[in-house]
Amino acid sequence: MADQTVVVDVKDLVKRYKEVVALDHFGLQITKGEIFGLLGPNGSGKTTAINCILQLLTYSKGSVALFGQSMGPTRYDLKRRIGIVPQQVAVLPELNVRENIDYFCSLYVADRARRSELVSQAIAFVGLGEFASFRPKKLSGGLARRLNIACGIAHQPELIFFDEPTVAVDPQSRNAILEGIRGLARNGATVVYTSHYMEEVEQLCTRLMVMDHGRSVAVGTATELKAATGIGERVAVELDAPDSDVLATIRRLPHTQHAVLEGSMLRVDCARGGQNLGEILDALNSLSVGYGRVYSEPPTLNDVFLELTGAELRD
Amino acid sequence: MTALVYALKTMGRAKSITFWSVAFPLVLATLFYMAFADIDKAGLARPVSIVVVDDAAYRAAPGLAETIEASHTGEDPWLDVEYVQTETAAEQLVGDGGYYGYVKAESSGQLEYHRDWRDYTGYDPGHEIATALLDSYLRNAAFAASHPGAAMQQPANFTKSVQLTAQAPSDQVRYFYSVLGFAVVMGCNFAMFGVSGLRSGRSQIGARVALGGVARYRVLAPTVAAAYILTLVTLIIGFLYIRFVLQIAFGGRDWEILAILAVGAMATTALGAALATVPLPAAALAGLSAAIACLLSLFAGLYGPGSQLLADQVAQSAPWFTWFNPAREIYDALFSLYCYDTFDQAAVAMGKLALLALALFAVAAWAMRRVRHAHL
Repeated sequence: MADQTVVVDVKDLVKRYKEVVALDHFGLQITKGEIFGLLGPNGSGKTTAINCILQLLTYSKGSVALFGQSMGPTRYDLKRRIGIVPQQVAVLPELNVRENIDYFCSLYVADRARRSELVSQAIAFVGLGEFASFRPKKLSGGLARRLNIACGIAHQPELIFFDEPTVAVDPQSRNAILEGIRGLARNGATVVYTSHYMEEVEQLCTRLMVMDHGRSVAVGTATELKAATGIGERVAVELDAPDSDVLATIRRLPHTQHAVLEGSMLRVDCARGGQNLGEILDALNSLSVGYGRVYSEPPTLNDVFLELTGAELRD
Repeated sequence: MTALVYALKTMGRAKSITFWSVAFPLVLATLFYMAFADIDKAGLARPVSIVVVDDAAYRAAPGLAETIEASHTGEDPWLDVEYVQTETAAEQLVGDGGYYGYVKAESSGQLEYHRDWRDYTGYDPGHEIATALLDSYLRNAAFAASHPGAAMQQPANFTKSVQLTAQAPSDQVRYFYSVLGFAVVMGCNFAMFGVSGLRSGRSQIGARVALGGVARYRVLAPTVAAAYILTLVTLIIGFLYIRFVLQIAFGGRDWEILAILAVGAMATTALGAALATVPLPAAALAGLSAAIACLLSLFAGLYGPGSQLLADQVAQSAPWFTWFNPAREIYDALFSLYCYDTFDQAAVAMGKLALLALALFAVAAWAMRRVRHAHL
């Protein structure tokens, strides 16, 4: 049975920037060992929420407890149990890989011998062994990201915040990073993960929160979020003779939310429930319209995200 | 200790800071050395070339031959004399060029100095020397004529060298003391770079440090200490280079100079820490520190005679201004050690620098306490 110890407990957090409410009675609970995904469009309040949790920002109202204890700017005992991997590579360009990891680790671990051991483990964990003496500017983008991660996790924190750690990395490095995060969780760490890559979040996170306008819009597993929205599958059919009558017929079907013709390809977004694919094919058969390839895709997290937060452009 | 070591490594390896704080003052000192190496010699009088008509009247003039003789012999001759027998020959030589003029004694006892005016462009120290010497002879001769029996003495016998300052006056040293003043202010880059990098609002590195499991002062204090060490080392390098490679005089009081530089490094480290709290991007801060160094150096006389005149006038008319100018205080302290036997003036300058350091550290601490939170 999973450990249900609450590691992050945020209640009723309110943060204002003059007239703008960045966090509007925001609440969050994360239990030990979770990989918790925090999603939201730009300006939704994710970063503000994390900064308030980490006490980098003050807040007008609410409470933050970590590991069951009230968090404050001088709670160094709690800070020593936290790791942070910022979005940008935040390492010192004048120090080499090993020195960088050792420097950031020294902010948490004073004992030099112990630190040396931890640094070696971190270097091995992110696979930077052969680059240990390299300065950051000599590293590729992917390797620099891995160094960034190593600097945040070398002291073996129990709670780790990852802020979009896979931005601008190639698929190989991304897989390595994601697998590393899974490894940390397997070893007992609790992970808070923010990203705009929905597929990645769906793959990685055990539970998700979608934020918008400083509030939690939905919380649950990916499956629960998909179930909670009304989005069904997306069906695509390659028609032999596409015409507007066919499209009009499909649009009149009870579960059709949206249908378009793209060349010979008919694309239909369906509502949840019903035999959507069967109904569409029956309709085509009744019109004696021939078809070739047929695809049916379940709803993605991206669909859920857009459903919850709207499709309009943000900053 | 780990934080100190890494702060030393981080700041010491920052190439732009090393260039502006170490290499640039050395380059500047070298350029000054190349430009002003002979400046002290420029004011020295060279022997004045004149022609003397060595005829009967010359030899009959009492003491004239001895005066002329004494003036173009010895270690520091005032005259370079060419003797001719006739005035015609003298006119010929002067006409050929290379002589200021010729001296002709008249049978009446008068002395005539025929100046060559062809190259006259204004004040001419050579001409003034020759005239003063001949006037001196005429006064002495007149005195001797009216006081029979009085002994005629040569000018060399009734003048003596008096040393009013510890060292011979030198215009050249001002430039190098100003360079060290400039280097002191530029040294603020170390503290500025180190401290601003730790500020959570300035960078993600700063945010990362702010989230560390140690109190901020335990990171800031070693950083400031490292900045101080590096600043002092760069100043010592600059001093040793100017003192021993360029062979510029510092009054032979090296330990006192090191003490002055140590206090100067403290003041500029405090300045850097205070500047680090200014909410500007790193590049803008670097530009700001360079502008401050250049401006303060103007009032330390770095940019030549005009700047030196302005600096002296400001120091006299608004002495309070020097309290805020480490470059000028360093300059004053070094120059006082060069000129005076005592350490009093230098001690005053050091005291001002120490007070400035305390004030700036207080400003930096206040500003850093004030801005505690920032975004990640």
